[in-house]
Amino acid sequence: MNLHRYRAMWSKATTHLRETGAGVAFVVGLVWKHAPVAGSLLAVFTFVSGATMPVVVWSITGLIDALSEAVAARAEPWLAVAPWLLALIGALAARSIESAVAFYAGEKVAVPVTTAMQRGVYEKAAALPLSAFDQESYYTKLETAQQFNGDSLSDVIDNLSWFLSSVIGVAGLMALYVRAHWLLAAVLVATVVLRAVVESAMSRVWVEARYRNSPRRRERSYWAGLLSNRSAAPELRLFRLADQLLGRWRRALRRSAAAELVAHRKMALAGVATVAAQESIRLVMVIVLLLLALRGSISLGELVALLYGLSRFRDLTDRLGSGLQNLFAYRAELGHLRAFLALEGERQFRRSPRQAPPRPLRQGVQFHDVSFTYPGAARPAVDGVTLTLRPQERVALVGENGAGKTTLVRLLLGLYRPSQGAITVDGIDLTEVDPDEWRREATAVFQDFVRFPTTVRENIAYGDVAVLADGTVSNETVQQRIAAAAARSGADQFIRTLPDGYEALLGKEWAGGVELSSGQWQRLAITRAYMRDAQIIVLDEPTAALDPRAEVAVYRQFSRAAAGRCAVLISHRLGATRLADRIVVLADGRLVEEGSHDALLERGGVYAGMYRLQANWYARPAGEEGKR
Amino acid sequence: MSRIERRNERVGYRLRYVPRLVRLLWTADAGGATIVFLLSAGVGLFVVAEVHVLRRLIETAQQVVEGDGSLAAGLWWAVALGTLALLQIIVEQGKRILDIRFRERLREHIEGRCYEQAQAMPLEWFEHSEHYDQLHRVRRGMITRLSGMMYSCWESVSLLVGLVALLVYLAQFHWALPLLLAAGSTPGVLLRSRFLHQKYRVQRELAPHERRFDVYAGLLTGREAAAEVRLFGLSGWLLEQVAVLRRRLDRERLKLAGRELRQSVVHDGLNGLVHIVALVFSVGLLVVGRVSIGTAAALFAAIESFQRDYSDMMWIMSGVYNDLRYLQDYFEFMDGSRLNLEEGRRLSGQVKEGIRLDDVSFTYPGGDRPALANLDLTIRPGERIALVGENGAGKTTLIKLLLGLYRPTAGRIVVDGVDLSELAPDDWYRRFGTVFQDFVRYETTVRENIVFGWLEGRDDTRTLAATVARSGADEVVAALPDGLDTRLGKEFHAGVDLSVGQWQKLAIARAYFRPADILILDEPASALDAKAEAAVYEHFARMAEASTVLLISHRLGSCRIADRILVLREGALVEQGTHAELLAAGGEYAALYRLQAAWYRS
Repeated sequence: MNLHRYRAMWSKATTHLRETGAGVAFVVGLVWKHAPVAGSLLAVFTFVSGATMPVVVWSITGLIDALSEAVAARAEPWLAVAPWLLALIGALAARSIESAVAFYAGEKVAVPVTTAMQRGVYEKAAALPLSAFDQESYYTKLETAQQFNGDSLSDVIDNLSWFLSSVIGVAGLMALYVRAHWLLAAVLVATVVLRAVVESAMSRVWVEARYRNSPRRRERSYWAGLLSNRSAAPELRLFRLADQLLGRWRRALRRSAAAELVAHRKMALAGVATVAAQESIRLVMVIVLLLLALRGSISLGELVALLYGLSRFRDLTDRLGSGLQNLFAYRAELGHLRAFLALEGERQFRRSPRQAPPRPLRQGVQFHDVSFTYPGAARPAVDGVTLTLRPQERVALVGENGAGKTTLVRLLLGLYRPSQGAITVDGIDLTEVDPDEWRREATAVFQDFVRFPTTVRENIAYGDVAVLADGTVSNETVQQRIAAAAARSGADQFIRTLPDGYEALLGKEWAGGVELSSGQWQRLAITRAYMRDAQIIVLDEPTAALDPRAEVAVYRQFSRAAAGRCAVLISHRLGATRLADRIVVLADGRLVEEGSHDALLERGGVYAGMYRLQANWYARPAGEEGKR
Repeated sequence: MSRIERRNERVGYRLRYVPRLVRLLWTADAGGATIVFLLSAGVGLFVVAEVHVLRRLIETAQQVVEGDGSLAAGLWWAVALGTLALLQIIVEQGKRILDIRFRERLREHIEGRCYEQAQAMPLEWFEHSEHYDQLHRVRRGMITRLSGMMYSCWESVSLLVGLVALLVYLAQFHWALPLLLAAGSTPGVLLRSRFLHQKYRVQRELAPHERRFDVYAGLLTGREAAAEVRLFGLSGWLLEQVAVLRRRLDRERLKLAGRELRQSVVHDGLNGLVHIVALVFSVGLLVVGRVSIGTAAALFAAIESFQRDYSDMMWIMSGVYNDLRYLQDYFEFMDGSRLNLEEGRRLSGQVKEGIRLDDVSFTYPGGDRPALANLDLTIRPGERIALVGENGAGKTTLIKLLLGLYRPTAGRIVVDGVDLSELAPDDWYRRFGTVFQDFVRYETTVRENIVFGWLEGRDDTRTLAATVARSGADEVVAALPDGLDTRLGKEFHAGVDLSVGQWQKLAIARAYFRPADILILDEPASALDAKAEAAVYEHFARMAEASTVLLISHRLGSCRIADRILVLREGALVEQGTHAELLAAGGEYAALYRLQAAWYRS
C-alpha cells in the first residue's frame, strides 16, 4: 500500500522534472531561433564563468607546490610561481570581463526573444474565437501567458546560465578531487544531487501553495481595485463602504499570507536540513583529505587547494540550488504559455476550403434549429431557434434581460458557432465561409461597445480599419469619410467642441486625455458602425444612454442606414421597434412570437403586453398623473 | 525639461524620503524591522568568519602535514567550518521567515493606508487625471515593488556589512590591501550612480510609448474589446501598431544596454585590475614569507568574496535607486488633503425646510466651461422631482453636488438654513439612497450586493425580502442556484455572471434597502426590459409622501408623475414645472416629450 504512495510521488516528481525540462527547452529553442549569435556568446560566458573556480583551485595547488619546491631547492620563488600566478590572474580577469559584458549579451538575447514571444501571444489572442474569452480556462492561460513577460524571460535565461555555470564548476572541481581520491568526487556529486532533489521538492511545495492560493490573491486585488477605482468612488463614499471593503481586503491579504507562510516554513526547514547534511559530508571530506595528506597521497599544495575548494563549494551549490529553484518556479507559467500558444485559432476550426460570402445576399441568413450554450453553462442561451433574416429586411429583437438576444446576434455575426443546428447564408453553411470575410459584410453597435483609449479619429476609423492601414490617415478622402459618418450619427456636434476635434485623445489614461460622457461614447460607437458598407447591420440597444432627441436621431438614421441592408435592432424601447418590418420575441432563449407590430399587438401575447406597459406612460391623458 | 523635472533628477531629492520610510517601517512593525535589520547585518558577518576559519583550518592542516600539529586541532577547525555554515543557514532562513512576516505586515500597513487615503479624498480629486495617475503609479510602483524593495534593502545591509568587515579583516595583514580595494571600488560606484541617473531619464522618456504599447496589447488580449476587434477585423492593424512601438522600445533598450556596456567595461575593468593587483600583492606576501600559506589562502578567499559581493552590490544598487522614485509617488500621494467624514454640524431629524441652491456654479477641475452655471433652486421635502436634459447638460453633476460629493465652485447649497459645506459628510450621506449611472458590480453574494446599501441593517431579513420584491430583483434571485446567497462574478471564485439589466436591478435594490430621506435615481432603467422599467417607474410614482425623490430619466413618460420637472440645458436651468404646465408652455420639454410620445401613438 505504501508502494502505491511512493509510485504516485515518483510520478509527480518526474512530471515536475519533465515539465520544467520542456519549459527550459522551449526558452532555449526561442533563443536559438531569434538570437543565435548572442545566445552562443552567452553560452561561452556561462562556460567561462563556471570554469574559473576550478582554475583558481588548480592554480593554488600548483602555486603552493612550486613555492615549497623552490624554497626547498633555494631557487628563485617568483620564477617558480609565475605560471600559476598568471593562471590565477587569468581567472580573475575572465571573471571581470564576463561581469562587464554579461548584461549586454543578456539584453541582446532578451530583447529579440521577448519581442518574438509577445508577438506570438498577441497573434494567438487575435486568432482565437470569441468563445475562448467566455471560458475560464482559456482566460487563465492567457493571463498566465501574459504574466510570463520579458523580465521573466531574462530571469529564466539568467537562472539557466547560473545553473549551467555551477554544473561546469562542479564538474571541474570533480576532476580535481578525483585525482586525490575517487570517493571524494563521488561524495561531491552526491551532495549536488541531494541539493537538486530538495530544491525540486521544495519548489513543488511552493508552486502548489501559490496555485492553491491564487483565488485569494485575486480576491485581494479585486477589493484593492474597487477601493482605488474612480467609477466606484461615489458609491463607496455615499454608502460608506470603505471600512467594510478595507476589512475584506485585509482578510484576504492575511489569509493568503498565512497560507504562503506555511510553505515558506517548510522550505526553510528543508533548507536547514539540507545544509546540515551537506556540512556533515564536508566534515567527512576534510578528515579524509587530512588523512590522505598524512599518508602522503596528496601534496601540501593539493591539501590546501582542496580545502580551499571545499570552502568555496557552498557558493557553488547555493548558486546551483537557487538557479534550479527559480527554473522550477517558472515551470507553471511556461507551461501555461506553451499551452496558450498551442490553442486552436479560429481558422483551424474550419472544415472545408473557405468560401467568399455571397454579395449581394439573395435568400438571406437562415437559422436552422440553432442552439448555443456558453462553455460551462447549464442551460442554452439560445435554444432551438429557426429564423430567416431576409436581405433588406429590418428585424427587431425583443425580450427580457437575459432572453438571449445578444447571443443570437453574435451567432449571426459569426462570432460564436452554434452548438447545435446550422446557420446558412444563401444556402451556404456559415462554418464554410471565411469568418473574416463574413464579418466584413456586417457592422454592429454592441451594448457593451468599446471605449478605445485613442484619438476620436481612430475610434471612428476602426469601423473600417483599411483606411488606417496604408498610413495615409491624414488623407483628405479618409477625413471626409470619417466626417460624413460623424455627421450621420450626430457625433460631429460634440466632436466640434473638443479642444483638438478629431485629434482629441480620449480617456483619462492619458495626460491631457478627454473623458466623454456615456452618451458621447455611444455616439462614437454608432459612428464607427456607420464606417463600413455592410450588408448586415446590428444595433444592440444603441440608445440606452441617449437623451430623447439623440435617441430619435439614432432611430431615424437606423431606418436610413437599414435601407438596402439586412438590419437587426435590439431595443427595450418598444416604440422604436415599430420601425422594423418584423419583430421577433425571445424568451429564455426560445423564439416565442414573430410578426409585424400590428400583427403582434392584435395577437395580444408577450409583445403586446410589454408594448402596452410602455405606451401607457405616454398614452394616458395629461393631468391625471400624481393623483393616484 | 521643466524645473520640477530637473529637481526630481537629483539623487538627493530622491533620498529625502528615506527618513520617512524608516519612520513608516517603524510604525508598521518596530520589532520586526529591528530584528530583520540586525539579522541582515549578522548574515553579512558570516563571510569574514568563514574566511577566518578557513585560514585556521589550512594553517592547522599544514602543521599536521609538517608533523608539528595535532589532527584533533585540525578536526576542531573542520567542525567549526561546518558549524559556521549551519549557523549561517539557520540565521538566513530565520531571517527569511521573519522578513516575510515583516513584509506582510508592512504591506498591510502601507497598502491599507493608501486605500484609506484614496477613500478619504474628496471626489473632485479623482477628476484630476494627474491625481488619478498618481494613485495608479502608487499601486503599480510602491505597492507591487514593496516586497522587492525591502529585499534590496536588507540585502544591501548584508552586503555592506560584509564588504566593510572584509576590509577590516584584511587590514591586519597589510594596511595597503583594504586601502587598495576600497579606493579601487569608489570610482565604480560613482560611475554607476551617474549611469543609473541617465538610465532612468531615458526610461521616463519612454514611458508614454510603453503605455501606448500596453493599451494596444490590452485591446488585443482583453475580453472587453474581443467582440469588436473580431467584427471590425482590427487585429491586423493593432498587431502592426504593437510591432512598431515594440521596435522603437527595443531600439532604445539596446541603445541603453550599449551605454551600460561602455560604462561597465570601464568600471569592471578597473575593479578587475584592482583585484588582480591585490592578488599579486598577496602572493608577494606569501613569497617573501610575510604570511603563512593558510593566510594566503584566506587572502585569496577574501578577494574572491569581495569581488563577488561587490558586483552583487552594484546590482542591488540599481534596484534601490530605482525604488526611491516610488517613495516619492507614495508620500506625495499620502500628503494629499483628506476629508474628515465625521467633522461638522449634524442635522437633528429629517430635512424640514428643504435644500436650496443659491446661484450655484460648478466647473470640473481642469475644465474650461462650467458644467453647471448660476443655478437657483429649492427642493422641498417630500417632493418628487424629475431631471430632464440632453446628454452632458449637467444632470449627474447636479446630483453629485446635492450629495455633497462635489463642492460648488461658486454659490452655496443650504440645507434648513445651514451651508452644506458645514455639515458632517457622513450625517449628510446617510440620508440618501442612490442608484448611480455607473453603479458598482460587487463580486460577492446577491445578499451583500443589496445590504451594502445599508450595512447597519444587514440582519434585517424582513426588510431585505421586502426590498427584493419591491425592486424587481426577486426575478433575478429566483433564477439563481443559491438564491440570495449565490456568489456573483468570476474574478476570484466560480460565481454566476449577470447581464447588465440584472446587475442594474441589484443596484436599485441596494438603493431601496437604505432607510433614506432622499432617493436619487440616475437613469435607473437604462438597461432594463419593459417590465422591469415599468416596475421602477411605478415605484417612483408610489413613493411615500415623506421621502424626496429625484429621478434622472430619458424616458419622459416616467416624468409625468413628478411633482416638478426641471429641464437642464448646457448647465443652466431652462424650464421647470409640472408635466402639464411644461407641455402647455410648449418649450424644450414639450418638444422632447412629443418626440418620444410619437413612437407610441398609433
